Amino acid sequence: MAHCNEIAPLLSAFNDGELSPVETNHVTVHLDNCETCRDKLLDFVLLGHHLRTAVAAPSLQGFSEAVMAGIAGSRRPLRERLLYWLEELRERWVAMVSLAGAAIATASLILALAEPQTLSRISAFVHGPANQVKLAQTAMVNPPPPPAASSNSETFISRLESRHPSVAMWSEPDYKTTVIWLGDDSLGND
Amino acid sequence: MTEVFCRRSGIAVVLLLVAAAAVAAQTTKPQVQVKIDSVLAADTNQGCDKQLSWLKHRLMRLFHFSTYHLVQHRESHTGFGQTATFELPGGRILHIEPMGMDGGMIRMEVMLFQGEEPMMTTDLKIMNHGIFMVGGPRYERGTLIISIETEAPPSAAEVGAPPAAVSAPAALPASDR
Repeated sequence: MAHCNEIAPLLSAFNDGELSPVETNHVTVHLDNCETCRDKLLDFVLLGHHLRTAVAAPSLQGFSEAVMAGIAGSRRPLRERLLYWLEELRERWVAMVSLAGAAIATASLILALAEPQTLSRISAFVHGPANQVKLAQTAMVNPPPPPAASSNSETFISRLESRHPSVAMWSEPDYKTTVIWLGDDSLGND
Repeated sequence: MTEVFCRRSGIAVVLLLVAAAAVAAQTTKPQVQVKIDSVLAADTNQGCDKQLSWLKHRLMRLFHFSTYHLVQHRESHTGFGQTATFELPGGRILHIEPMGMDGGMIRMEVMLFQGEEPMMTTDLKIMNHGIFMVGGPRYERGTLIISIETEAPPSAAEVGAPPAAVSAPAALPASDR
């Protein structure tokens, strides 16, 4: 059996239920046979009861409302308010500029795609990029003839490029038909 | 507050995009009908193909061959800014791109290729329902004449009035439309 001087330091914790099961069992066995320690334990119990009843717990009713009212009533320093305003303004401007930029870019893209020239370039790229490149090369090798306009017909030709050495053009006023005639060239021959 | 602003801006962007898409759809809506007749012309004294009766007088007036034979007829619809591609006899390829209306005339780009080699490219304006021809390339034992006719819908043709320099199309003989 344990001595009282070993059990006494554990009584307070025993009263609070803070001991391990082994220690609890140890103290319980000792208390069954020791009146002195039972008296000490009773003292702890009574002391705890007196302490709890002696100090009244403060009432928390209306506490949060009071805190919030205090916060609302307190005025932040001018510098802090200015910084907050600038930060808010900056966020707003960044958002506005970003959105406006995105809108302008998207609208420009759509309108550019709606342009016939753009569509034709895309179409030409899809259908025959090689042709476009070679055509450009040809135009560089053979300078195009000066722009021609056939005023006697229903056709106005503003540009005519060909790699053929001889290109003729004539119109038939009665039938309002214009002909572009490509002269003999190995390219055009079968 | 910034969140509300972003949301409103987002709605504005969506509306803008819808409007732009509507404009784009409206812009690309008109279709141009393109008719291509590939005619083999030769001096073999065989006359004019019956299928070319509507073009006979025009061909006779413009050229001096004794035989005209329709090799191929092709039709296609294409929008302004879009390219119509035609495979022609002899491995030729014709690209026609109506670019828009200009005073009642169709503005377009025409490109003729021999395979991948460009033979000719031209920018021109032609009256609605007008015809122009490209000739010269050899084909079989003759010469190929390509007749190109374009027709824009009235809605597209009403974009502008014909320029003063261009008179109204003269009435053609019934056999020539």
